[in-house]
Amino acid sequence: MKTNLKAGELLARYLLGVKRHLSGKDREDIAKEIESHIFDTLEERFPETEEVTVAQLEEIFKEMGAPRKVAWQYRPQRSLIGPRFFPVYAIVARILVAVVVGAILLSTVIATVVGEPQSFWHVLGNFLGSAWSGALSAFGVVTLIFAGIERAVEEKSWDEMEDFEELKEMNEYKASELPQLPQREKKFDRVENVFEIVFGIIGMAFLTYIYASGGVFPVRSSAGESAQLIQVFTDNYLPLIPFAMGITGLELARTITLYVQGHHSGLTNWWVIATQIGNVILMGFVLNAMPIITLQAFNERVLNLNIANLDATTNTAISVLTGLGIAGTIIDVSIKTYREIKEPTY
Amino acid sequence: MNTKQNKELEKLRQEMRRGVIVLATLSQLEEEQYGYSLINDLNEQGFEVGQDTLYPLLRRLEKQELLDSEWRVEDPRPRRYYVLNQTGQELLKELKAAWKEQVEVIKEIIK
Repeated sequence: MKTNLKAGELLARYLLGVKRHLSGKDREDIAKEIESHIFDTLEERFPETEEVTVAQLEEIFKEMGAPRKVAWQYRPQRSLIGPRFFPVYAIVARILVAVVVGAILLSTVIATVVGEPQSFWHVLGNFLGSAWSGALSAFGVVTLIFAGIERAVEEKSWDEMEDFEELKEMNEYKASELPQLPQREKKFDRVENVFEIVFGIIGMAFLTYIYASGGVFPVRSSAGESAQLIQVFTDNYLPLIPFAMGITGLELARTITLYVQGHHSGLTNWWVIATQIGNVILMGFVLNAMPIITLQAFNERVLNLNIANLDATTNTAISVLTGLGIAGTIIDVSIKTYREIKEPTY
Repeated sequence: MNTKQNKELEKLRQEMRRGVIVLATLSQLEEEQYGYSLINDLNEQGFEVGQDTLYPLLRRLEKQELLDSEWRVEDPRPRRYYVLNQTGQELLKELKAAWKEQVEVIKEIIK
């Protein structure tokens, strides 16, 4: 008995879904045994069939339930939050942690821009400490609540969930909820990852220099002449640098985590979303802080371009690009968040 | 019986089945079987069990070192075969005796 192309892909996606909800060295073996069981069932039910169709496979999957449900039977018999409530728990925990970290990030940005000037490391340390304790508290509270609900309805089994129709439905098989096969997912590219790490380090070094120098650069207009310090970044931009360094640092930490992991995961995907939200907020402040660049002195000494209103033109161009960046990032974040909630990466 | 009582009865029957599923499974593995054949075997004899219960149970029993298993490639694809090992056989013997004793006790109690 063979599968046609579409049925083969559907089976592979179902088994991938099961494996993603399993951990430990047995997961490949368990998936292989489930596959063997599926073919045994197909053979008995459709003895005349030589090539299995999607409809025949789906008939079996509907009886077995969602991959999550199949995988969960292999977990330890007692768990803090069982399979009945886990889907809702996972969504609530993710959303709450994201909201708490986002709120802390926003309050840190506002305090940095509006409040007393503080060193970058002080701001970063405060943010990381608050974000960690906030996320942990939110996660802990949600876990405790769901563990309480789990114990309160402990006696009910899978088949006795009449009172929880919506939960029951979440554990039913739905083709649309199966994960995509790896070739359709974003593949981990080690070369691209190394470039991201290198650019992240360069970015951090650049921002550190601007912050330390007050936005000036040494410029030598001709050989033999001593270098002069020329202002490039305005005072409007300098208070935003600690925040920009925080975002770059978070992104750098993510790319290093990705390098160590060797594959994209729920952690790194949500991490991208968090840093992109931070970037949108930063770009908003950049727009509000315009003008952030002054090239007049640099042009006179080095470039010698004959452009009228060089500063105004440059800052207008930066404003337009930043505006486009905000719009593009918001769309990208929305798509990524929707995908990650609908089809979580493990 | 009304619907609620029927549900309660079904729940109690499931609990009874859960209590003896290990005995029922071990008793059918004196000769090696793969998962699907074991499910059919038990169901044909009137002991209802699904894949969602049986496969994890087989793995648990193997981890408890009562079963041995191996993958064997037989036409048209590989299947995992399970069989009682020496410890499993000894335990099954004890369980059977305990079960028979319990049946006699319960018979006396409910007569």
